[in-house]
Amino acid sequence: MKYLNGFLILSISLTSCLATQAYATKSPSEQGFAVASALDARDLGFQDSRSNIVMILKDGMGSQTKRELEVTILENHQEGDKSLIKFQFPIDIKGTALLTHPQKVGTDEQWLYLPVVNRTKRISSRNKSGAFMGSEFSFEDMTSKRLEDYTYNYVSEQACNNGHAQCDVIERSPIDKHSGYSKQRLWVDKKDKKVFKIEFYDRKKSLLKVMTASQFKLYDNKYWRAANVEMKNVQTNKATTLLYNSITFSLGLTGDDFHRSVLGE
Amino acid sequence: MKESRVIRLLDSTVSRWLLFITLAITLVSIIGLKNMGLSSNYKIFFDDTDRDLQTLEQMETTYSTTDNIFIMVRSKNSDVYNVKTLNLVFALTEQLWTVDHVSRVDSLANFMFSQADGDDILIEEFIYDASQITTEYAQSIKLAASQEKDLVGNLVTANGMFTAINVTATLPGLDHKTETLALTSGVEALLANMQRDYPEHEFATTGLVTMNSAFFKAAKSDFTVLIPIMIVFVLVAAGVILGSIGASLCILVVLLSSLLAALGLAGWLNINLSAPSISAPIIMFTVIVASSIHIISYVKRQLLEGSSQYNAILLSYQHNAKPIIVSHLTTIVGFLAMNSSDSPPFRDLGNIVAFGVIFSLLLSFTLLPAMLFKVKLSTSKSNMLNLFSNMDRFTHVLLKMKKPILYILVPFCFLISFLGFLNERNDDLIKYFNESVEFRKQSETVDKQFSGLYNIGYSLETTSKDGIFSIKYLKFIEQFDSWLIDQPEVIVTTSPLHRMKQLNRLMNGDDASYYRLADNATMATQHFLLYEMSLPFGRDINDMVSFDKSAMKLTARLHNSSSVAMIDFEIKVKKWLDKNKPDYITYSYSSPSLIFSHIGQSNIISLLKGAFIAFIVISIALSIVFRSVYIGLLTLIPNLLPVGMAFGFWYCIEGQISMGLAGVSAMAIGIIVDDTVHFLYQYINGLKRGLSPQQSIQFTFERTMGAIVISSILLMIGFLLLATSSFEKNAQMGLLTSVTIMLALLFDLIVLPVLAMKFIRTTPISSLQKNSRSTSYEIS
Repeated sequence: MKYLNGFLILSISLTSCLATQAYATKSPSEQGFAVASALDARDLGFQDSRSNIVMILKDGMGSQTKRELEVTILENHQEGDKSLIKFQFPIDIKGTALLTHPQKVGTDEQWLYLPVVNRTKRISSRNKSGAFMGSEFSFEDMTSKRLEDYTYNYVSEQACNNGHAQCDVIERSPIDKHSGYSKQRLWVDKKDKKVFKIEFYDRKKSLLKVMTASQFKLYDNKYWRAANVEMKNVQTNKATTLLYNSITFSLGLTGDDFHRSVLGE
Repeated sequence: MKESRVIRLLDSTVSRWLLFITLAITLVSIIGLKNMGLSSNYKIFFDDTDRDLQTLEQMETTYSTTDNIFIMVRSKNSDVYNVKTLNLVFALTEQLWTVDHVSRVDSLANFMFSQADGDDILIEEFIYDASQITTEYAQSIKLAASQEKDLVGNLVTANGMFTAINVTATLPGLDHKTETLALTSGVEALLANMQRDYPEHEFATTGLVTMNSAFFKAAKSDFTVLIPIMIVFVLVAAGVILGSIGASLCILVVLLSSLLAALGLAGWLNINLSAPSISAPIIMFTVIVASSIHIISYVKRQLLEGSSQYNAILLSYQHNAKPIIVSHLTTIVGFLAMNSSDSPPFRDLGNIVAFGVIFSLLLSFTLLPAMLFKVKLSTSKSNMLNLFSNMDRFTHVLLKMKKPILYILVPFCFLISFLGFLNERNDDLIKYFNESVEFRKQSETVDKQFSGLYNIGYSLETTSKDGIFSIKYLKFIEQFDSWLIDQPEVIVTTSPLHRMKQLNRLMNGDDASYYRLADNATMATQHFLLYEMSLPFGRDINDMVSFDKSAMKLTARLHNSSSVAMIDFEIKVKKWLDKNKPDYITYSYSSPSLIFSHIGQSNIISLLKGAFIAFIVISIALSIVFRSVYIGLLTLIPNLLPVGMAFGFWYCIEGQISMGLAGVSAMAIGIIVDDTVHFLYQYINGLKRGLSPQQSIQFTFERTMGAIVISSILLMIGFLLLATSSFEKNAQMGLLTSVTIMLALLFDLIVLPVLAMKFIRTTPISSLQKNSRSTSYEIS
């Protein structure tokens, strides 16, 4: 099952159906998988969502630059969640929109609408590992893959969120060798399944980036979303912060709202 | 009075305390060795506050680091567009990503190729997956690659016979040496594997990281090969020359203690050794041995004259304390003068040697006599020291030749010295290493096909975010780019310009007539957004575009160039930019090879200035020592002329001086002036005893010329050993210094006696007179 859960893999539902005490009898990879499936199961049924995001890019020297975007997502259990990203700032890219239809097999379908030429271009690219709009986030970071896209390993149980919560720490390694990462280490809240922190390790297994999420809010009494997500590249000292101004759920969107013909609207 | 002072210094409780204190200081210094390391970063050639370095680092912050390894690949059988070679390049590209500290890999395999079919756009690596590689596909890559301006000249040659992989590294900088070695050894291991799996291919590597590691390796091999040779050489030479194993062991102890203490002190001061300063121990060895020889030869002379060993030691210290101290001090001044250098490793070199000489001076008056008292010195005649006992005939000949020497030889020497001024100041980065060094060989191989090390990056800055998309700006970049391409020095340019034009074409159904700039800034921005979306991990455009898109970097890749050519090119481009650029664009430019050109040029001047100051200081010092400005000035001739002649000689064999060589003048003066001091001291001493100038010359030859010749020969050999260094700067420095010392020796043998006889006929009034009374009994 492929899904694009929220703008980040931070979406979590409330109830837990997996007994954590069972971990003791499982192998580390089974334990890791169990945590991941719990995380995955949490978000089912959100249907659709729309967020307004301000993206702040910082270089190592203290300069900043800003981007603004609107992200709309349609839950899709069969193929994977469809997404539509509309760029709003800077002014030169206002109205530019990127539509993504994930495919079960083969390359995802992507269309980019460029208002300046009033044309929609179908982009064919298998690359998801690059920087998104020059930020420290990659497309890969923002689109959560299927559960079976990774192998898992349970690491330990640790205090997290500055000691305010207790987390399961798991590692996952991508199966796709075109991924930019060798593994990721996730701190998953035991209670609410919030993901407080992810460490990204590059292909040579060195720590590359650290993502931290904070200011979690509960939507529809069901879905936890962080309002502030920071990605810090520890190798270059550059960082990007995502500020979620608003997130709306259950707008009643359908496949028609994610058709390529709507891009220019 | 003086007599008793020296004796007290050597033989009393005071001496024991002094010995104790000196040894304590020496030991404490030696402990500093624990801080001593070997540097592996080319940036140590620059001060942290160096403006050139700051510009470079600023650019590295805005864009990406310039630390790279450049690997050239060639198939022995055909061009690179065949299944095997492409498989190799693909596999190597993939594996290089996994090497420690690699932040980016660019190759033919992962080149982002774009094509369009109507509104369908494909932007992807040439080779996304190894299964794509077939003979037909290889041919289609060949066709496509030859059209790609960003590839041809950068990563493939126009004839398709060579391809290259550029590896960019981001070193955390916590332990530069370990990081550099991890990176280079990782890449070397991969290449060794590839060589085994693909035997029909050849590889050559260059790049800054490779260069850093070559600096390190050159320094390390100098250290581990030359220093043991030096120790053996000193032991044997001193033993044979002085005819006494005991004496040579004493020298070795002083030597090793001074050496370790100097290096330790450098360690305390957090000085890291590097390729240039690695020659410090070797130079120290040579210089300290030479001065110890003087001391021991005085002792031996006393012994041969029948004194007991105890008296011999006391007497020789008593009578020769002054020339020993003065010669040490002049040497120290000479090496300290290297502090005028703009480049830290050369200052380190001067300081470490100066430390060593200071320790040697301290130990020569404390530890050395203490040991000499204990050791049984042989009283057998050493032929070497007695070479000059019967110099009647030689001085007669000199007297006869006085006029030709004064009026023909000396002016001739001046003439040769003037040739020294014709030397061109030059430096060439690759030529820091000699031809036997793998780095130089491979860099030169690469440079025949690609531009490896020589380039200048121009950062062209606008005043606003996203300013690089303004058409006015882009038009200017286009103009600048095409002007650069027309320059004979430029092989190829790299910038996002080609990519932007390519995008415009792509957005217009791949119609070749649209290979031009977009119509307006909005269009250019949106095109670029599309492109950035398609880039895979680590291959973003941040190496050429600032993160807020207010500035862009355009790199001109150049042919191998000397520092002079590099600077000429720099000035030419600067003039063009100042004349043609719109006002709102500001620019800065830099590159490692450019800043090396600058430091090379400025360091030559600063070192020569230092040498000049050393000269003046030494001349003043000698004027004071001999209580005569006249003598002080006169010593300039035998000291300045050999240095000048050595540079004249260099003009005849090389014609170019580089930054290491400029240091020769300062340090050579400090060394060669020692012999003049010993010579004049004895000569004036002779005069004071009422000897005629001619007799006094004979007296001087007997007493000190043996030691002068031997110490000079030792110095020559020591510096010639340095000439075998694989670090070309050290080798040239060694060669030129040894030539200088040889010329100085000839001067001391031929010209100095004549000058002395001609110009110093009476004794200057000096404290030496007091000495002469007490000295009188020592002549048998």
